Amino acid sequence: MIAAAAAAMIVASTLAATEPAAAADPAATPKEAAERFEANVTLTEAQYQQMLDEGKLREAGKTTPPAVSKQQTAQRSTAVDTATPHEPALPPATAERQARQAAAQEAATSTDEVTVTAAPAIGDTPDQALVDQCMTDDAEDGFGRIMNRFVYCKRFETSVSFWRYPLGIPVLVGRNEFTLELFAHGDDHDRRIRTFARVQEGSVDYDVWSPFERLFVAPYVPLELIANCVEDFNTCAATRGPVTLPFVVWDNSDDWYYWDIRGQESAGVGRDKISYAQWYVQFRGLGPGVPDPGHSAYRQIRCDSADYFRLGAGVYPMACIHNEVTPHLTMSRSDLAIGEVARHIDLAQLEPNRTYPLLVPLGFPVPRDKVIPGRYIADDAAAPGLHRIREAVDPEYQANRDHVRGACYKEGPNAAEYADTGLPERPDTTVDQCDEYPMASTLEGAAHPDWDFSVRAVAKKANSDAGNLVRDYYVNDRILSVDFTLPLTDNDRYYVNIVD
Amino acid sequence: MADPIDLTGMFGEGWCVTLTRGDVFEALSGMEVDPADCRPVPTLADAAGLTWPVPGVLLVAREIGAGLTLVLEFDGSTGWVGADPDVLAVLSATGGMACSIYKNPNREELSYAADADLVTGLDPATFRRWGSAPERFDDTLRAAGFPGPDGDGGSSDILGLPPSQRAVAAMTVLTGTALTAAMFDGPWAAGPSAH
Repeated sequence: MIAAAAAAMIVASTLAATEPAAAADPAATPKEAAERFEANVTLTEAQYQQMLDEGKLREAGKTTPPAVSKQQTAQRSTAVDTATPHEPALPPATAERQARQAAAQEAATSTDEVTVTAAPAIGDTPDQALVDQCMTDDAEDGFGRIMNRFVYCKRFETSVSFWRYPLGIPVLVGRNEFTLELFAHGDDHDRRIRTFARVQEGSVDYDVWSPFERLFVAPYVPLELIANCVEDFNTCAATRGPVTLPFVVWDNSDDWYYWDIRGQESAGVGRDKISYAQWYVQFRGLGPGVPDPGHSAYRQIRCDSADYFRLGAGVYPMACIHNEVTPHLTMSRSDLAIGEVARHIDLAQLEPNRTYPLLVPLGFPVPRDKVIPGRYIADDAAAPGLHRIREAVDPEYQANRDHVRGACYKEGPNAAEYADTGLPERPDTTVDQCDEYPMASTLEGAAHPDWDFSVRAVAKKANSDAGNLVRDYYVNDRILSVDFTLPLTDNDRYYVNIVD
Repeated sequence: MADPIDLTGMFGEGWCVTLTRGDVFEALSGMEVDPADCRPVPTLADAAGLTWPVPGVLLVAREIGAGLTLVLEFDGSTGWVGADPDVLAVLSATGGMACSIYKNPNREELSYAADADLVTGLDPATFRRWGSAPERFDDTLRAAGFPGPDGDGGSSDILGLPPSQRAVAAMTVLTGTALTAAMFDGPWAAGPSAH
């Protein structure tokens, strides 16, 4: 009678909580959906009894825990591939649009902190320094945290719940709660993201189970982890098999396991074979019963085969990045080397009417405000960005340089255009250079027919150092140059963020 | 003139190449590398993997014949060493010559110094010139197909090149030495510059 009453209380308290196999709301955003994708296991009475029987054997010392193999198969079996559901690939334009919306929503926590040095090579375990830098409180946000386009992490609490249905009424037998840690590292040499996952050591709790079950049943339930692609093999390929270990082993280990998520070049579009894919980590309780897996929220990656990323002797012919962050170059007004350039850009972005060239000569009525793009606005997905161009292939680069020469020195093919609106005093070329914003290496530079620009004399070294910073940024944040065979809205873009 | 080599295609959008008279150690010393820190390396990739206990930006150098040394740098984080007028003055002192070209995504530039004086600076995108005698090479450059300093004229051979290759072509005209891909094969002497 007491047991029945206890069971009824459990039913009453849990019915209002988590229903088994809660179906995902297809209209939900990935952020919302992630919080509800916990795993469940449905047990028949016989299967539940089997678990209890196995527990009794453990209690009596009559079973030797099977040797736990922490090996993970390098090959993914056909059975696993077949059993993994897939969704249609998003059209590139849709994927890019969704990524930008997500980036604007998550700007407070996904910050695109681009370092001046390239990320370390990807190994079989994640770089601990990067993990430490990434896995802050912001990583516990439902979305996780994109630290920069090559580094993503997430830490979240989830669970596997075990249900039985005496007389058709759902009864929660027990719930294994745990914290899952994910770390995904983009490769700058290959079209893959290496996704690492583990159960945070010491995070497992056995809730609701009876005292006996808490000691002899729950910890021995196997938990399986595997990373999967959302799309099928035509778009995305996931390598390596699942990892299945008892909860007690997960809870007492800090080992990482990894899978490679590859963006198929054959699915790519344009000159750089850009493709989009999504991945997630699935988890489920195994052993007796029918598992209903849970999974992390889908995260989008962009892969490319651009052949122009070089840094000295280093060549970076392919890459995959986390696309749901707004790429931006940060420059400090107080930086000793480039502060002068940063202050110029700041003025151009915030007070463009105070910059040269003027719209009309002094003394004439000003018809409108100058409009200069590229300012980083964290939560604005529609803010006008800058599109990278290259002098080797884009004639706009030469045109930009010609216009800047006209605006600064009143020389060259555009001299007449800026005769009365350009800089009133030429830069002294023994010490200064003409700085321009937007930069010459952007489509929105001085020659753009629709955007305005700014020029100013700055110290030669500051201008040169700022140019080298842009060089590093383009490589370290994988800024693709514009491909005119694709709609401009589908092309990569970046912003410039001026800070103190 | 044969098509100038494409340094941007080889090394990306950030490099500085300096040609100067003298041997490797004279060149590197003039660029603030302590000869005691120099190490031989077979390739540029090997050089990139080297570390030193002293701070500095990596320079690699090799003699290319005719009494000339070629110095290459990719770092640029403290400014291009070879583009610094003070460094060019040191390298070109007492009858010497030093010529550097550099590239970043937003700019290319050539600097030519002789007898510790920056004679000519050239912007290969706009053909604008400056220096103590910016007109000194006008005739030579024009004969090679370069437009004048106002941007007028010029051959399709030169105008059809991207600015970074025009910089290489201009270096050839001013120094009489054409860079070849083989010059970048190595071996190199590598060392950190304290500049």
